[in-house]
Amino acid sequence: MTLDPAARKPMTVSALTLSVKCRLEEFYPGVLVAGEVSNFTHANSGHWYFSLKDAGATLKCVMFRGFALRARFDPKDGTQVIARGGLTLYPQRGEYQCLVEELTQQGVGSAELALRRLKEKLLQKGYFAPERKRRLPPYPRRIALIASPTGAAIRDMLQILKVRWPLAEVVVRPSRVQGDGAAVEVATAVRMLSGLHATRKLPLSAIVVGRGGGSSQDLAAFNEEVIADAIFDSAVPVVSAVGHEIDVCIADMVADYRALTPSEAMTQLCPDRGEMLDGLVDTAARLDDAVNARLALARERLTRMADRPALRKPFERIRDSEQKLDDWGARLSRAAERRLTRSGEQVAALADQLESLSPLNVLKRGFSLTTLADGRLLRSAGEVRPGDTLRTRTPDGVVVSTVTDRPGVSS
Amino acid sequence: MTEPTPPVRFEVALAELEKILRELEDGTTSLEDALARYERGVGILKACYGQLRDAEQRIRQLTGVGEDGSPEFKAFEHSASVEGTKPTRRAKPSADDLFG
Repeated sequence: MTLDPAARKPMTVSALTLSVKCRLEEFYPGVLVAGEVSNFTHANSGHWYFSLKDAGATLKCVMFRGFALRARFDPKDGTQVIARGGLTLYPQRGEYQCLVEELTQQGVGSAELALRRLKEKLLQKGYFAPERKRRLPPYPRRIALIASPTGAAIRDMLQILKVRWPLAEVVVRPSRVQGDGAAVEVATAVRMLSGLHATRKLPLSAIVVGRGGGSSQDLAAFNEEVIADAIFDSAVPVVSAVGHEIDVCIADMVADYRALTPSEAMTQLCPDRGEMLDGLVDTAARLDDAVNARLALARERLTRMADRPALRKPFERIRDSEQKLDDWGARLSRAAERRLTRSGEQVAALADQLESLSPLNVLKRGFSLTTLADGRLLRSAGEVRPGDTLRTRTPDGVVVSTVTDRPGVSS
Repeated sequence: MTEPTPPVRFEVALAELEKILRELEDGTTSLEDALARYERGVGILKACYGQLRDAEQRIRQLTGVGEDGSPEFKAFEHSASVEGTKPTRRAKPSADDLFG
């Protein structure tokens, strides 16, 4: 055999692949292989695609519809199975695979078994008890996000927070969320934030653990006990948003709230600023209506009082106050039209004036009016000095008196 | 560590507003009390409104915990940074005129 390339005609990729395929099929027409199912997909065509794996290797498998229909169980990731079939090669991808004809269940895979044991243990410890789920605060003020700093999850969460509820300060604690060591990193972050909250160094409304979608193998970190413990021990309510709709992971089960996606977590956690602003506008209108109704009532009482003959004479001033009240009422209505602009000041002034004019206060003074020498109404003992002359009008006449003392008033 | 100015506690503020409204709508308060409550209500509304309108998102990255147990921060930088957006415009344009 010569090594001169010119002397040998090269094979095409297709020809070489076909050659390998033939040998594979010839040497492995029927194999019996045991392994754990992973990445199981039930395609629309009815074919099953999955891998069989053990600690050291992975084997791609296809089970066509006709064979899949005859299987007596639905394989899931983690199921330990024995497959019977022949090896072949899929030329387009250059991958060899096993065409499985028969699949039998061989008990539960070790990983799946460990997960079930852990779930059982945590259940016994009360980690999943509904009564220990805490309510999320209605108006969060500071939210901690644990997520990959470069992923889509953090970007989505920040974006929604910015629009819905920018009032909450955001504290980001970056962490890996998949792969070896991710579980410990997330757990450490939860503990750090919980500790800062507990010592009042950084009070928090909620901790959100967020992660975008992915295959269920990527979710493994959130099935580890170290994360469960950290969430269970957290002094702050924890929202789990690890983005997997089908499989509920242990972090989801321990958390106070489980969100299907990081975006949904933010929507559940925060009120909407726009809706609240609209609500405040409605409240302002109600407040206006209520105070106007109350003013109308006062006006009506005043009118009735002024119409009583016994009061008419000595209290011409009531007519004045009535008119003024009407004026203020109109002013307030105008204010209401412009809604509540500057209403705080107006109302304060109005309240002062109304108090001094209230006919009830006048009545309490025993139906008399006392005026100073210059005709002004006496309102306070501080306005007079000993020796001043006062005129007091009562319903049946005028009394003239001289001030002799004003106990308790400093000059 | 710098804390933001004490924000309105919405839970408390909204509960008080609701109480004021109920009292005013009952019509059983004296005129003076009614006006005082109205004024208080307007004050609460203004505070809530102002805070909602003016809020700007603040993001910090927690880098660790110092020896004295205090949090340590740096500015948060995200490779796919958040687009700057204006607060959503409301259907009721009078909202901004409302509280001056």
